[in-house]
Amino acid sequence: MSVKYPLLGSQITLGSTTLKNRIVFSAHLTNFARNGCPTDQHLSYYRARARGGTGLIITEELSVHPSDWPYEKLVHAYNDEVRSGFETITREVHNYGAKIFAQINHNGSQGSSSYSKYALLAPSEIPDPLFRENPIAIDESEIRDICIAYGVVAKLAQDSGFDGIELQCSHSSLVRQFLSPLTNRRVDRYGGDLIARSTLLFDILNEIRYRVGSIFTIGIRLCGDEMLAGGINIKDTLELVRLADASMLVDYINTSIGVATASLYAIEASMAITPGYNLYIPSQIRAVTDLPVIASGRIKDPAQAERILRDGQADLVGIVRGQIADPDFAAKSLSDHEDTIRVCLSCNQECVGRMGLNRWLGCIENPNTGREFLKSPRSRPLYSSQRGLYSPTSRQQGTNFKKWQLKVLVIGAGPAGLQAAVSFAETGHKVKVFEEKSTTGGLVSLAANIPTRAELGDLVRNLNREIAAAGIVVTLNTHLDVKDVEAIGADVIVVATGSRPSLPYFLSNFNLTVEGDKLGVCDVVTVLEEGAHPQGKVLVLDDLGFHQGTSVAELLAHRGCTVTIATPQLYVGQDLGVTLDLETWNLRASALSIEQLPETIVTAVDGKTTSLMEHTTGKCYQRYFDWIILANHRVPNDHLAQELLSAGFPRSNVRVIGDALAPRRIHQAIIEAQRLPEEVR
Amino acid sequence: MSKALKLSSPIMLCDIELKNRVVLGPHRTNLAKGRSISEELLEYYKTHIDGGAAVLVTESASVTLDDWPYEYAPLAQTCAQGWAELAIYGAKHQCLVVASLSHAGFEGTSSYSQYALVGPSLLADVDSNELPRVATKDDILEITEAFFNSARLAWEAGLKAVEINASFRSLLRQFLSPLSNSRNDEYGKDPTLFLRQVLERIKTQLPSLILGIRLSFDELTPWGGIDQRLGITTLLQLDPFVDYAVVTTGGLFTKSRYRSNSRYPYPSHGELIRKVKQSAKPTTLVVAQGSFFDVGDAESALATESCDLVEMTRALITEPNLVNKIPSSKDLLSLSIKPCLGCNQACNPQDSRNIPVDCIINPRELDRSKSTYLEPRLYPKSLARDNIQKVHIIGAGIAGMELALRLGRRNKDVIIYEKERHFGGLIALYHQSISNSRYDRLLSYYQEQLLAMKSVDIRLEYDIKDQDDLVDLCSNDLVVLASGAQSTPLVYSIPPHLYLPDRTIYLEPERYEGASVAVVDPRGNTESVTTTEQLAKYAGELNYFCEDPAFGSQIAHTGDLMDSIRRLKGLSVNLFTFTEVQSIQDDGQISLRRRFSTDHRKIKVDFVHEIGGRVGSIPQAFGSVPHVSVGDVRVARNIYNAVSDAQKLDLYLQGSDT
Repeated sequence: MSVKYPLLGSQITLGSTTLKNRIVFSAHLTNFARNGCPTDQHLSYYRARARGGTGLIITEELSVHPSDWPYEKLVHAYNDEVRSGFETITREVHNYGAKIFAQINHNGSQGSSSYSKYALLAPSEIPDPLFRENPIAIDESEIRDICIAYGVVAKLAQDSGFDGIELQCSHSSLVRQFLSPLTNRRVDRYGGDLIARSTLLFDILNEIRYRVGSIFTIGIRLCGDEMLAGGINIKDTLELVRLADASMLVDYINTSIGVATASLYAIEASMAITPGYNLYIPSQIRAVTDLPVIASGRIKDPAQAERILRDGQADLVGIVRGQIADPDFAAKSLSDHEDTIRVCLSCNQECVGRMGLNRWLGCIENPNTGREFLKSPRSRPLYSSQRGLYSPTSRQQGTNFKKWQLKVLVIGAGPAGLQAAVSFAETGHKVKVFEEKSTTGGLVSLAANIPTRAELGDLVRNLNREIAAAGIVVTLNTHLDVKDVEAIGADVIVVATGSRPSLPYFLSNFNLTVEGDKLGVCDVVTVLEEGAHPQGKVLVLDDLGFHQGTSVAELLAHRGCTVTIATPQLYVGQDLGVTLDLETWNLRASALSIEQLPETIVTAVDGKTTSLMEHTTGKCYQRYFDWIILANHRVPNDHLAQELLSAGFPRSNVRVIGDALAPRRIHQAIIEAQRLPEEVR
Repeated sequence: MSKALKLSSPIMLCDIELKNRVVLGPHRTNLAKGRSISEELLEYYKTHIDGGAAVLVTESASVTLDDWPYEYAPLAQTCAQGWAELAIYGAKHQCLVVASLSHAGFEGTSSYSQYALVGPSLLADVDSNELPRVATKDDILEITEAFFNSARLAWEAGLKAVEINASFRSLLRQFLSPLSNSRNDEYGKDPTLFLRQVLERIKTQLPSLILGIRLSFDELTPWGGIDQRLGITTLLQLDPFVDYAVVTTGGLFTKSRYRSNSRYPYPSHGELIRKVKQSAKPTTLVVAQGSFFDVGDAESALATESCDLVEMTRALITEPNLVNKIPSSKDLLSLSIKPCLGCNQACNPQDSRNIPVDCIINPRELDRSKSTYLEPRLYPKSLARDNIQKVHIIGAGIAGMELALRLGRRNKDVIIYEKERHFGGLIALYHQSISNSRYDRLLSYYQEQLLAMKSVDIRLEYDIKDQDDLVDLCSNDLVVLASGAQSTPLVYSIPPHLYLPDRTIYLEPERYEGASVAVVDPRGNTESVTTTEQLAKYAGELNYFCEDPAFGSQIAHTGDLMDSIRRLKGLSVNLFTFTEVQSIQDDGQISLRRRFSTDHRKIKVDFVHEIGGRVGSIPQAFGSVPHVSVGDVRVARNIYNAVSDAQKLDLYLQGSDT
């Protein structure tokens, strides 16, 4: 029994299922399925969260019908082949005292015929804004078939050991398409007012209940607000909840906001959106029903979760990304060890960001996520060719760490260095860390100085805590040269010295202080380090398309600069869409009057006169700027590594990781650091 | 006396006689599940071997574990078994199977391997923006060794030839190109050194293995990179080690020009092919590659440029039996071969969705044995399929033509009705606006085939409004509606008097000539390009609106994305991207908002068109007669789905014959 979080740790009953606590691992895509079936990757992923203490797992969507196949790695639950996989998953999850529900769904028009080669089915022949494929408006007999398909899959779930099912009526669902006036333009009994539009929902619920009997939990996940003009809003949802409550067919209500293919940025909000942004939905629903209600979205820590329960905003909390980052979130929270949780950043880079790209689910700060099934999860997956199926094995099976203790010297306390120190310490080695600057966290700490990127700082806080817990000494403000390294006499030298800025060909030097008519030139990092203070008309040159340029543009606009951001790419922030930040950045950029120049390159710079060219038309023009801020690729700061090698240190003992190897993103730094201990065996 | 085709004539490659001059090049299939030559991929290749190509080059296999450019990219070390099976099958059918070996360098991704990319210098690919680590000398030696080990694996699997990729997405090309190699060491001073070492290592250790090189001779970036002179100089340095060379183009910034679409037809690089042939040592066979969409082009390249072989990958994807259909003489060159459109829409799946290679006019047939699901409206319910006497097809668009062709081949009695004077439906309209379009060839193909079929009765200018118009209808006849969709706004609310339907845009351009026209585009596909271009030719002012942040979000794989943006801008189209159309008033005033901003604006226009605004419909008039529908009338989609519908219905009806 948790002293700090009594409500979070308390039991609750949903229909015929009693949960040991209020923490729910809600449904989310994983891209773990192969050939339409659940895999070992699913099993070990869900098992890890069950072992980590979550009260309830709701699986990723299980598709009920062959016409539904929007993305490659969907679970086709209408095939009986899935049953043995489900049975194993439910058995193992139950072993840890967790309950597990199957989310069942048909994506309707929010799909593609590319995989199934079958036409899409929908209430009306209106293309989805993301998939853009016209669907067939189904008739009553086809609706009947679909209802039966839902019922059959619900029964299969019951027979495979699930404690209940959740009917998706939210993110990407045929049911939501029937509920929403935007997608349902029918004139038969399935279209019209809300009662008519909900006919399909209740037809399906009746069919399911008929097949599973009364001792089986059925929940619905509703989209409280589609965030689209003319779409479902909270008023409609409250009305629907009343209908659902009165139907006696439903045991609990799960909630969400937004539509997966039109307003995903609202569903899986990034760190730029304030936590609690969508709590009005569960809290208003809770006011009109006695059914248990689940809240979800940006719930990151147990204190926040407890407060939601205490304030009566919900009965349960869905914590997905929090448990992706740390599978032991629940156990740590409820045993008052919440200070050891590796807190989610809501960065969306490796979880949400990989889903749309058809890649397995991962986590920027936990490379084991999605890799739990590997015997040695830190080594790379090697796909063997047997039977043409994926049978991942590890390159270095049966890891035997050295019995003797290595002396490890880590140079640089950015994310790569800190993670390397933690990983070596975890495997029993003795680690010292040296950092030239006065703080740890490297570029990540700097990036977190921008208000909308502040939660990146959780990464550094997590690592610092783990460093402290492992008793690793980090010596700050200390530059090491080859002699120092020799004097320390380590077995392994980890060079994690990061990167430095580089100049494009049209600029000859950096210029951090502006005098007279001289143009100020620096890179985004210098701005964040307060090494330069741009003023006046500022041009941010963004080659990268990720957060580096756009976030600093925002910062400078806040500081009163007149900001223009130019990129050779087709639009500004080309990679922001991956983390669901494109929409909200544009809102902020518009409010700050940031000018955007896509398809633009700089051809020459003469004093404060910059020559620009729109490369799709060849149109050239000149503009006057006081500052040019570079968001371009940096170069590795690896001269220490070069010097060590020249001085005769064996290559196998000098390990260069993170940006010092090649300036990239956080994830690569963390993963390279995390697997180092077994690579240097 | 008619002249025999050179394309069908044999030629010696080292000590192997190739039975003809047709090569299936290496291409991404997304069938190599588990990074090996899966059963499915093996079947795919066997179909092509059966089709008669003399040389089949397998999908490029990565030589190292770290190189994992896309999820189903083959890995050499797990391909041996598949290569061995192909070697045996190829030998039986006189087809030389060649293993393509590759390393994508920094043009790959670390997403799958989770290891840093490697490149000659510190430069990121414009597509991925992912910086590689700079290859050390140890890396270069290790990769050289990996190429050799992979070649040895292929040799031991029984293959007689391997081909080294120094072209599309290749580390070896990255070393050759001044765009990507700025090293100061010997590999920078001598950019061919790495590739030479690879080839030399293989050739000296495995002298009997036929060694080919796939080389980019022109990165088509006049301001830098490999140009034709450098390309040929490079080949001369490699000549001692290679038995054949494939002449390709495209590079770091011009990946789409490796497999150019039909806008860049063959003659545009004919001179390069000729120069390479003239420069190479006489024993090096020269393979022409890119844009050989039909037999005529290929024959012409063999004759005009004196090359030895022609890679016809996409033509073979459209028509795997192409070689078997090549006539015995030039005079018989007819339209019996389904012509590749050069559209790159389904055969070039260069994204992460992993959709298997396909062709929009010849969809791959799927194994339906597992599923009993019959799609709505495609399968006759009230008529037993083994009772059907005659099939009445209403509409000679692509769905109707394809179905008539398939049924006609099986000698089924068919009547096809078309209200226009000509075949082709929508594509007859569209192809006019595409430069170098090959759609007219597809129409001619259908026309010639159908006219030659005795069991197919063609009735042009024959408008069928309801069942009474079908004078020849007997009981047990099946009516197939293939009458296309209705042009109508589907996503936006457009006042009818402002709306420009498809037909008007193409057939009556004078209606909007000189006027102010708006295009609203919820699709971002190839139709967005063709229709906007057509409108731009006649409209006085053309404003284009889409909610996507950039134009053409669905067309990157066709290779026409940047080109089409340049063309549209060249035609002075105002491209408003990331723009929400909030309302269109009766007087033509359009209220706009830049998405996720407070920027509002109003524009007044005379006409509005919505891209892809088409809706299928089943006329009630056929309610009592057994009928099904195929193509756009069933649900308005694209060519692929129209052909696929015809294919599915034909397969279903065939079910009763067997």
